[in-house]
Amino acid sequence: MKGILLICLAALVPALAQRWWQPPEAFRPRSALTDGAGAGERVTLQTVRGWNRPVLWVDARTRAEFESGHVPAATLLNEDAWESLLPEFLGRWQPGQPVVVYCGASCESSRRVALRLRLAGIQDVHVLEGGWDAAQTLRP
Amino acid sequence: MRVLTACLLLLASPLTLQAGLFFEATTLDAKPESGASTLTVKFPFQNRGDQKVTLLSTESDCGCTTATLDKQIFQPGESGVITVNFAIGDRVGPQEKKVRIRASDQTEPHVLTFRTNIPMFARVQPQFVYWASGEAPTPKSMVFELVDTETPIQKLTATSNNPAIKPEVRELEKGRRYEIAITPGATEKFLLATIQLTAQLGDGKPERKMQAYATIKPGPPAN
Repeated sequence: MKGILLICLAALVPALAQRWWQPPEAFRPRSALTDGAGAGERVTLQTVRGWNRPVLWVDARTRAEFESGHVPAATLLNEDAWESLLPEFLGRWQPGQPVVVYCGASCESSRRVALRLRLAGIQDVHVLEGGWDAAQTLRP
Repeated sequence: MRVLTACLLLLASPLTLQAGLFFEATTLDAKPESGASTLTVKFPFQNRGDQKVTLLSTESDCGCTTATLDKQIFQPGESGVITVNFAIGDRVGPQEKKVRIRASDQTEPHVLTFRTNIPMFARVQPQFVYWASGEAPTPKSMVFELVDTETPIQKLTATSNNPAIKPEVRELEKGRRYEIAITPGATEKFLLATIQLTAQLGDGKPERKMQAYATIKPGPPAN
């Protein structure tokens, strides 16, 4: 009995070693390319609070998620309907006003929306670290 | 004998931990049909374990991606397909989406990834121009550039949905690059205009449309 237990424990060693060296994809750390913005454009909620100037919040999630709750005064802008949502954003954005984009905590939509806003001609665009989970503390 | 058994178990243990659902590929490259609004990607699999596997749930990293299962329980040796539908929307460029399938064969989810590239027909930079309220109503320019077609543009037209904003097209490079100069009549009041850009292509290809924007705003000029 002791021998069998020893063999089983020994058999676990390579399995655990493999998991440590090559974890399943779901548990691997994500790269900046797939999980968010480059280092320069990411901001924490604390940083945004320290700006002391009006920020235009952009919600890059789906319309259904936006309608179930969003940062006060945030505008919906996502790639599902970029062309139809952009005029609303442009109507609200003021020259020189920083833009902070958020999406779900593990989505990359905010990074893509931020990139497209820059390509559209707006430079002061940031991605909120922690996404919606962090942004929820701004809700009344 | 005991040592030999231990060695065999040592070699086989990582494999036995992965028994269960086996996917022919967990990462696929897919190409959308031209002008398609959705992309469907199929991930075939087989239950290679010796116990039935129940598919418990699916989760995707984007609201644009949904996974459907043809059924939930798969007996040993049985095959199935997980179908992933991607709503393209207004997306352009390279895309990588993941779907996580939770099943009874392992504690961590099976991660299925597909990559695709949504062709960008053309780009306009910047996509919008603005004037501060009271700023001189001098023209501001955008550049329209053909990206994803070998067929040159025969004619590019620009129309504004607001008569107070006038776009004018000038060809920079034959059939490929154009300057769109936009002039407001006045810059006293808030205004937002959509500039519709319509490209007529040769070879009987359908015309393509893009939007750009011009707006008059309060605040200091910045572009």
